[in-house]
Amino acid sequence: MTALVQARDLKKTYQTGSVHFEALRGVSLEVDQGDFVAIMGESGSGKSTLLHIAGGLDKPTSGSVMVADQRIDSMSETELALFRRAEIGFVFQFFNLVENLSVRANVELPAFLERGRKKEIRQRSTELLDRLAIANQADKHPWELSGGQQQRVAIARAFINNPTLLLADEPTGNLDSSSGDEVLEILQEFNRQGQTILMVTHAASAAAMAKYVLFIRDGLLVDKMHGGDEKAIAQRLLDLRSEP
Amino acid sequence: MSAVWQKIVADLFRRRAISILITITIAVAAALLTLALSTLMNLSGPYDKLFEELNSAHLWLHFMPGRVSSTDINRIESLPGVIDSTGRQYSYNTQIRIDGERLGVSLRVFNGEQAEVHRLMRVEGRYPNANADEVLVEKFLSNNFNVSVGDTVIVTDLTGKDAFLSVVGIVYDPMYDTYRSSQPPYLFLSEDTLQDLFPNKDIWSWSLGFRLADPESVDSIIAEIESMRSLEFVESYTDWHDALESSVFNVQLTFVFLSAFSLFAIFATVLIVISVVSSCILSQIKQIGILKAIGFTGRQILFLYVGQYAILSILGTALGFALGLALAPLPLQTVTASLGTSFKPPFSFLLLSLVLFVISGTTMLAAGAAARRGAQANIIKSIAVGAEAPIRKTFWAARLADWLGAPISLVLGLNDAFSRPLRALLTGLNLTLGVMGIVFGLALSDTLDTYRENPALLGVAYDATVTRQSSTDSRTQRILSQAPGVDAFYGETHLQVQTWDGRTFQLRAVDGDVTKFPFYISEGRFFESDSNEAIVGRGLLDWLNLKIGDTLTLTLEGEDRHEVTWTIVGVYPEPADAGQRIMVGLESASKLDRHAAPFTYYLNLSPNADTDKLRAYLEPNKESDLSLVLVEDAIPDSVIYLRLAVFMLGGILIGIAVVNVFITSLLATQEKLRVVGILKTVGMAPLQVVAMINTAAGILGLLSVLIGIPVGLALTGSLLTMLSNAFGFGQVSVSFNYWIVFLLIPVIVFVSLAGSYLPASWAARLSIVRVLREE
Repeated sequence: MTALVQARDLKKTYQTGSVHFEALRGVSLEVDQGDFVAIMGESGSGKSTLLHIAGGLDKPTSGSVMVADQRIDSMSETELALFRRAEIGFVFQFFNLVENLSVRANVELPAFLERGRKKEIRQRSTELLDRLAIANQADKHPWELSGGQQQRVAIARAFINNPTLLLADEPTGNLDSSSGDEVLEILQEFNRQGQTILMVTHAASAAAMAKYVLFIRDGLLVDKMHGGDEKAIAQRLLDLRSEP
Repeated sequence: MSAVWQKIVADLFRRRAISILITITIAVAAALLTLALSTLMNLSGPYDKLFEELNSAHLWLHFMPGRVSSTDINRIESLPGVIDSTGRQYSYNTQIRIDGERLGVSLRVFNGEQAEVHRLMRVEGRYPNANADEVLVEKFLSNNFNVSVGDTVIVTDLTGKDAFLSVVGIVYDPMYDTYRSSQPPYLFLSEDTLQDLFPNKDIWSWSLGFRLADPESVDSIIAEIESMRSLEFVESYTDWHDALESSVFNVQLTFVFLSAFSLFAIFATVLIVISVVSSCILSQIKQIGILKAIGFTGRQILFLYVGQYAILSILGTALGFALGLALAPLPLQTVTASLGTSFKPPFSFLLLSLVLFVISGTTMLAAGAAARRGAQANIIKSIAVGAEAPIRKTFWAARLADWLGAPISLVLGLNDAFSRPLRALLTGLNLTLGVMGIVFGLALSDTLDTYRENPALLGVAYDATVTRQSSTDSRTQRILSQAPGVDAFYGETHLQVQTWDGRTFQLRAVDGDVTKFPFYISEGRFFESDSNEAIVGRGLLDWLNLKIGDTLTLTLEGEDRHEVTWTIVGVYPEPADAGQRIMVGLESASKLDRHAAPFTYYLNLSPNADTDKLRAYLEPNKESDLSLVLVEDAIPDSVIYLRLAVFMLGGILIGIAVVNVFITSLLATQEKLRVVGILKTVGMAPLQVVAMINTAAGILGLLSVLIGIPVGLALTGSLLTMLSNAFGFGQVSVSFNYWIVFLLIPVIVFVSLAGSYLPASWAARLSIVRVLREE
């Protein structure tokens, strides 16, 4: 079976003035269809950069990325936009909703960018809002909702175009533990139905929900383990910190 | 304070492009204001300069032939306040022929190149030699009848013999009052030459010019002459004020337009400054929160922004002032050119202070108001939220567009257009001003064309005029009634009349088929010819504070023996004397002067009239004393040229509006970087980003053009009416080609799109990761 995500020897260098910063120093990665993969690491380890490159938000300095059989590292800006719209769903720590659009308009936004049929889009958004238990908030604006509800809206928006891959960047980082658990359960539920998810997180409890966990340090993938055992994940993270 | 200064410098350099654009905009406004104020302050500058250079006379008395003695002249010359005199000057009114055309002129004795008082300004050629058949023509004659150096004018002397005089030079006489259409053009020749042509000095007119110690004492000197009972031999007098007024007439018109546009420009500058400063504060509110958190006081925040804009406005004003001063001779060029002189408005601290006060003052006030608002923002909210939150409800037009199935980028753009209503309003107003400027130019252009095509609207209700010299009125009427191509004619004579309180003006007494002429009566009706009814020019109506239905009692100037009362029944566009004339039937006017008879005849020609045949009929030989002049162009070229200036200034306003759209779009884009980042993340393509940002600017452009056209038309109507009333001309009907609207709408929308294109494409190229990382 071909992996849904295939990254080969990814390197990413940022340059600010005369300062070079190597965010990724040769990462190779494969994520299969239906996987739920968590990426853990310290701040500045390169985990978000890896997620951004996999989602077509950023381009690697070198190396190649295939997602859903498409070579995205050589795509133009417009091709990448179309790719993201069709294949990728994003969930961010700070929700990133458009403030002056209603909940429903936020959810439907990527579908309208795709110029889908209005009736079908409305039907799909209603299903998602129902499923995420925020149907009664559809006409409200984001600032009228709690953090947990806003993240549910973000998840609904991420799924409106039936993406091949869901990318989540610290999806529970801005939520209380109860709301965070609810969001993780939702993601797990989608994964059980076949949704591939790649998630960046600091929290061992969140990573434990994944099928397996990748550890990244100083721009390199340094370890991989199965999810489920929160304590073992937390311990491995501690060990990595203390390793030279 | 050094912290505030450091921040001012840092902010100005960080937003270099915006700083430069604001400086340019302020400079343009300051240049326009400098031009307008400098024109106002120096309206009479070229004339005054020339008047002094030529040691011109402040007052001219014109005497009836043979009615003044040397004793009288000596008595007048020795009046207190009279410091110098030209001595007795001679002239003779007659007709000349130039290129087959007859023309009434005043032949005047040239007083010499080195005359003490009232020298003539030589514009071209040389002065005539004594006893040579040479003449100088006054500039007015040269300009209006295409006479140039080297031409020959023919004067028929009293024996019927033609004298051929060569035009050797063109001169300007500072006391020639072009304003008075009754004054014949001047030709200057030596006394010997005049005597050769018309040896009888008793038929020559005499005149006397004075330099006065106080130029403003003209009225008191006249009063003294009156008290000497000398006025009875003074036929008329010429006051330097009238000559000055006529020489600056054209520039006054230019000044009014410049002033109107300066006001537009100032308003546009205020709008752009308020808009930009508000936007800057909105986008920097997080920074303001941080500055306040680390100890900046509200006053320091105020200084920070007022300081920034003080620097930009002083820089812009200085640049604009220099530019305005460099361009200042241009609006006065119609005067300097007609005077054949050069004049550069001098540097004036008063002017600089005025421009600084208006431009920098409004800029800093706007900056202060916006900074105060920023300084009052809550620290925690400022740091946490950043930019002031836009209106978060969905705009109704966006909902409508969504309902109509418009593309999402269009819906989002519509929603953004009014998410910050104040800024949208200011930018929209700025664009509207530009549209109003263009509409003003177009309406002015169309109105001038309408008046050119229908001269009756300008009070020119005839195709040609005929003047007679020695032929009688009845003979002339007989000739005209049989003339080929003449459909109708009426005769006219002018009487100098005065009101009971001594205000004098000209009366047109008409006789003939006046009903067959398309007189344009702007108010009321035409008079009944056999009644004591009158129609008047708007200028006279306003001057004497009269209205239709009022009566007006007049006597001949200098006489109070016969009084005649007329009832005013209508207003007509009087083209002469700033509209200060009255028109009545000859029958009623003869009660004032029983010898009144027409000397000028106005002709209505049939559509296919052969004008050469008509001329040959009226002027069969050189002895004929009838002369025909055809009406060709009713609008002076100087007014036509104004159109160019109006369009140019309209373009400048549009330019300012484009800069405003650019800055507004740029700041709006900066503020919503996060939203653009989100939209790109969820799949908005670069072109869709451009479309979204352009939609917001385009909708402002569309609304502005829809508002700007009717408002601009209303403004044009008011401004032209105001101008027209100021010149005594009455109501003006504004013409506008409404098809232009269909062109103007897309043009202005395109202009708005052009202004927002750069910020839009910058947003389209934005790195999503950088935006999200900066969050």
